[in-house]
Amino acid sequence: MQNGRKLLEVKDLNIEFYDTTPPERVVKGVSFSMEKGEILGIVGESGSGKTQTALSILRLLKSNSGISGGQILFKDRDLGLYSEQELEQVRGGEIAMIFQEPMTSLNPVLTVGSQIEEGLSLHTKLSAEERKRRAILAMEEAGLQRAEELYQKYPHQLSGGMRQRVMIAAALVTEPDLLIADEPTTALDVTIQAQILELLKEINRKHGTGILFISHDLAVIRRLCRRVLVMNEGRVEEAGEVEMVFEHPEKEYTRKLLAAIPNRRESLRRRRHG
Amino acid sequence: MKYMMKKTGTLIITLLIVSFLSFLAFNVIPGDAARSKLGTEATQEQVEALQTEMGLNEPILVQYGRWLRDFVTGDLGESFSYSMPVWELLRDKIPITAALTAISFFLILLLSVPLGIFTAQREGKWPDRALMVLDQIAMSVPGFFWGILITLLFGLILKWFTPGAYVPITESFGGFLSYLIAPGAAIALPRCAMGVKILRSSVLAQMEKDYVRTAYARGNGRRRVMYRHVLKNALLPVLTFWGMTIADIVANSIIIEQVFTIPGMGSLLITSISNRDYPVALGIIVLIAFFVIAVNFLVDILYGRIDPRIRVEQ
Amino acid sequence: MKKHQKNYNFMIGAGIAFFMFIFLLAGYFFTPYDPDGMDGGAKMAAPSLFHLFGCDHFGRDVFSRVMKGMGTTFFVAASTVVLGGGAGILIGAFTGYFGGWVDEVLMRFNDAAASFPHILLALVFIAILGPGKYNVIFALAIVFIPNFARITRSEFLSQREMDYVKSARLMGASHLRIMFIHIFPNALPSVLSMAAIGFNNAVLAEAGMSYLGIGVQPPDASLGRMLSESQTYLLNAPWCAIFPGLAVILLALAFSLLSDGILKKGGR
Repeated sequence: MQNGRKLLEVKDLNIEFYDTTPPERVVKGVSFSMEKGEILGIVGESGSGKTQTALSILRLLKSNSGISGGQILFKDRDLGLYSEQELEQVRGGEIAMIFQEPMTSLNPVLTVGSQIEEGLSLHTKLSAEERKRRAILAMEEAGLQRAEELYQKYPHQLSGGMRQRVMIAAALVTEPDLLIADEPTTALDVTIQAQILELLKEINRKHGTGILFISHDLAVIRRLCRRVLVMNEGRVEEAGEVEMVFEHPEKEYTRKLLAAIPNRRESLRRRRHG
Repeated sequence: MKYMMKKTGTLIITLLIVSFLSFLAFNVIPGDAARSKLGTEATQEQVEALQTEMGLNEPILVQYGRWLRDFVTGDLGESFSYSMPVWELLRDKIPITAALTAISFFLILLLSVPLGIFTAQREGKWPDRALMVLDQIAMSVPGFFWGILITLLFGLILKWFTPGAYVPITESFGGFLSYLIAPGAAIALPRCAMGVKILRSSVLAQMEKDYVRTAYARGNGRRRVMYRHVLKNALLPVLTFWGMTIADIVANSIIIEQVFTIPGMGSLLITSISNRDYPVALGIIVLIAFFVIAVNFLVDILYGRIDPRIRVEQ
Repeated sequence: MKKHQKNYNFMIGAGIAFFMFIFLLAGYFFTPYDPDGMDGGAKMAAPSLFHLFGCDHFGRDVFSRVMKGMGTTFFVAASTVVLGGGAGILIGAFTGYFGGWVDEVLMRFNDAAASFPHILLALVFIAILGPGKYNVIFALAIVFIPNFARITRSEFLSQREMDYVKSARLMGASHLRIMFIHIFPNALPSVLSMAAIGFNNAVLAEAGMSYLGIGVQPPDASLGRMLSESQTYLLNAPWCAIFPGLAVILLALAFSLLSDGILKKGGR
């Protein structure tokens, strides 16, 4: 792999929780890398450290935890050396993030439109009209119908699926190079889940946005990603092509994880036919 | 609009209940209003004549209806001890108590909002801890003792104002207002301490919410997260507290007016209670009650305006 | 592996309350001087070894008077909490447990009453009943009922649906037994915390009303009245104001800390 083609490189990442003595290490020497325009999946159970890993890239860990070792390189720049102000420029600019709970991840007292536009007001000097135009474009691209009307609404007036689309629109509006998606479909029901996955795929195809997709659900990962990282108790158990990991898991843990998918056969069958 | 209608309905019912209960309390329990008015010297015939004249032999609901009709037209009855209409006694007192309330409320807002944000931003660090200890103590000092302490320190020792030298509004508006600052502060301090504690915990609760993480992920700095995202959410529960604060200030002004010898509604109420001057006491209490209820109503309406979750359900 | 934080609120609150209680309890049996005894030679004497808190304008020992005054305050506050709290808990328990229209009506009533400042409502009763220690207790007790009723009701309302209540019911426990043997202990932290707040409010309200001269009447000693008497001689004998004030503050502070501490202990 040539230098300069790498979008994200995480080297020997360690994360600790400070509110116990001694500090509890929740991510232990995790390393992985992503190419530009790639969709990488991280799969693991809750407590496997996958969410902490995702949050640490933008240094969004809660104050009771922190990075205790390792390097995070984004487009060959060491984010660890960035000041808080410099990092604010990266957040929501070059790297955007969406979260698990679309119900609570939006601010209840601000309109949908103003939250989608926020990335633009923070990272560009565009006029208010231009911001609104782009926000509406992003909403349409995120599959939101009647965007003009929704623009004025408040989050609680929207369904869960629509809110997640709003989150995606807000993330895309600044045309980031990397989108970190932390369990974005977990709280949604199955049909909506499928739609959101298709949407992410399309965004990846159209804009070449790299997506780091975190999920506990191997079936979901398989529909979206080419490569996957299996995490367990803060370590990378296994990494590789999704199909390889799926069909020939090397580790006992991965096998267990696969066996735990109730509809594995079902999803396999659907995949072959669809 | 449904929200408005519902709240207005509640408002009217509450006003009726409160005024009826107050009326009932003052007219049934203390005994015979006619006798109180005439004094112990009066003969039985005189008392009975006056009873008929005052309509005291009619059913209580009829009496209440008449009293209410008079009340809303500004006729609050006649004082026993001053032999003059209650409204005339009250008219000059209302602006004084209103000014005191306003000053006190303004001081509370001015102090508690910045301090609440300041401590929340430094949760667990020493400025927060020190302020919270002071806060807890300030909360336990009753307003009238703050009044005494302020009088002692700023009035008698530092001589920034002359205790007891109340300046009527007719004499000097500036002098009137500046005399009210010390009593206003005395009322404000314990309530302000409470406001800091409530705003602090409200802000801290909001900081844990997912949308705050989203805001950071979008590139907001700490200040912007606080002022654009968190504060509005955090102020919603505090709004109710502020509404109750206005009521609390009015109640406390009754005591503080005594400390600073301010001739407001509170002083009049205390005198009327001591003199068993029921029409005056009833008038003041119902007026204050109406004011408190109206403030609660306004807070509800304001709440609906600010919180989109309520606004849209109309 | 949660870090165990010490419950400072509870510890400090309990410490101050214990200290004050010993102090006022002693006052029932013994005071260094006769609280009403006037010593012409000690008029407005500054605090000294003989008179720890100094003397007032009649030459009465402030220390002894504070002891007695705290006794009155404590008596009023405790009676208020017991009476108002008891009635409020009963009302809240029954309305919360059984629900129905009685509950609805009482709670509307409660909401209206709870939005009122305590002092104001108490003044209404004092205006009707006249001043005096027992009238103050009665007035404050009535004023506190809504708060206790509201807290107890919400506890009973949520506990009522719990499995342990259903199983107790299946085993044939009577409603009264379920309410007071099964549910009440679970509601205790909230109720106790409320009681501490009530005590704090009662101390402040009693002091306020006595200060206004419409609370506790002579010959009962009263911190509030000491404060109002002290005001005339504030510059010459500030100790007459400081020490009774300090007693009120410490009592109020102790119980407000206890209230926070109890909630924390109860894990809320």
